[in-house]
Amino acid sequence: MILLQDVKKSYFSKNNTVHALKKVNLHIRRGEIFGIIGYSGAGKSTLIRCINLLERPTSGKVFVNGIELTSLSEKELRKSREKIGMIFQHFNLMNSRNVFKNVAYPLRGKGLSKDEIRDRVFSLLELVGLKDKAYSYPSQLSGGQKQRVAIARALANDPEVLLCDEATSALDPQTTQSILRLLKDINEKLNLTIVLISHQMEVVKEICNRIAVMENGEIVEEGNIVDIFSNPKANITREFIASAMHYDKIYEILDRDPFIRDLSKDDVVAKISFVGQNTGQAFISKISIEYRIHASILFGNVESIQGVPVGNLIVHFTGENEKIQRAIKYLEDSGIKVEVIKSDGVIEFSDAKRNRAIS
Amino acid sequence: MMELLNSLMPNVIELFPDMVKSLKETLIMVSVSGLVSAALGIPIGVTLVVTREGGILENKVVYTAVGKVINIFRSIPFVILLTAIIPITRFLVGTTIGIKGAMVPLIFGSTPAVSRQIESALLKVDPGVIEAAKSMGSSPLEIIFRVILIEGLPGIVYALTITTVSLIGFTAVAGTVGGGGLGDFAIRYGYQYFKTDVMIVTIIILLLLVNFVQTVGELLLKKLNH
Repeated sequence: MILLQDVKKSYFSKNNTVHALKKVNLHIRRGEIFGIIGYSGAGKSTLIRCINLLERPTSGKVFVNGIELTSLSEKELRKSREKIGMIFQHFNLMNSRNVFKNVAYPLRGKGLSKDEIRDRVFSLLELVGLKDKAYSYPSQLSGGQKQRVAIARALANDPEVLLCDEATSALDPQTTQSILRLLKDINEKLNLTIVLISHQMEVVKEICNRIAVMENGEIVEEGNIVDIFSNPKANITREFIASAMHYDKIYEILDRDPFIRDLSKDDVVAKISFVGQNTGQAFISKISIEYRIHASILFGNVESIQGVPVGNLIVHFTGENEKIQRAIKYLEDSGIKVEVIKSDGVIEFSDAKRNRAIS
Repeated sequence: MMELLNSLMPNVIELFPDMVKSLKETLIMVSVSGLVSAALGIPIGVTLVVTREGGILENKVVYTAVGKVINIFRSIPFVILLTAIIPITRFLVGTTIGIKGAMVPLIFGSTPAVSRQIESALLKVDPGVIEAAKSMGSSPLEIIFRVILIEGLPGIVYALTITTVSLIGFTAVAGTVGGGGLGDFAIRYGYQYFKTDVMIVTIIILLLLVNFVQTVGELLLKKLNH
């Protein structure tokens, strides 16, 4: 559906050159919701603008729906853009027009009759649930409502692709959820391909099938959202996941709890991670019975990502050290990742190791 | 009543027909030169906005050239401009005195100001909205007429209100060199003949005029702002 080939974008000024995108290759499939995540300045905004050529790449090719946009004339490009909707962080509605006229904007001048435009606008407003606000002005709407109007407007010309540029970053968490649900909804109803950029893992994990992680103008990691969550490779991906899963709390607990600080010699504190149907709790009860050790959960977090549970537990094992080691071996053999954080009275992690441990 | 007025401002009563004529001249000068300079200034302002760096029709040569010409006219004090362009005035309207003769310098004097005011008004149009229009496949012309001018309309009204008010001031200056209008009237009778009552009444009329323009502008603005 969308194909970026060796896309580079550099900004030149008198004294320096900024390479916003360094040779990006990306393939986004029809009908999927694709997320691009990265910190601000990573190049995500530039990348998404290269898809509809609001920013023309310095080099490289951009294909959307089989058409090479980078080879089109301005006029042909404008025609193609009608099939690529876009929504923005700050909604970008026209304040001098009411909701109806905002949504009608892209429909005018296309040979449609007044009634046709009217019907189309109302069916779009119905889709986004704002039929009763047709004659309100943007200044009278909440942020979430404004974004709904923007979505209706972006869908006016029946696009094949919807580009979302930090579309929920200016919204509160609840409104964010409702907008994400709406996006998911139209993705399914209209078989619309959605590209979404965000700096929040919470947002992409909610609705994206696949994601790409960007850093310094490059895609450092790309793949299925569940794979990325269960087995992140790049450091930056781990950071994003750590903040999304609140792993930082683990260390607060480990640092503060006097009980954990004064472990006896045989005790082990380990982080066990599991994906999919392996429910960690069941294994815990199993090993405590089978290996006759105590396993208590100090911290637990199970996230459902695209319906697949991804969990992390911090478990405190007490008992004979040899039995504990065998239990850990058993867990590992069952496909569960075990990382020993503390054993033999020695804290195994240091600040430098934290990045590794929080994966 | 008439006696009271007569004793308070004898000269005003005496010159009343002249005063009405001058007021008419002022109104004609302000409205004609206002309309013409708006008709010229709005396109120039739009040109400046769209050709500047990052604009939808970025063009450094046009932007710099237009900007320079405007700055030249803006830097000449109006009194000097009045006399400096006498040859042009004569060529265009065949005379350099009266309201006809005053209108040419008025237009030359206020068009650059209008252009800059329009430019700054239109620059306030949210670039995000323009970007959104682009993403919907709008052409530059569509963006100018359906986005920039529409979204910038409150700013344009505000700018035109300000320039109309300053045009009223300009007409008074034009009056000093035989341009006609209330300025001419006040200078001639109020200043040169020391008829203070004429001066005061003229000032009151100008005050009302300026207030009227400002009020109309603000009412329009209120209607346009949502």
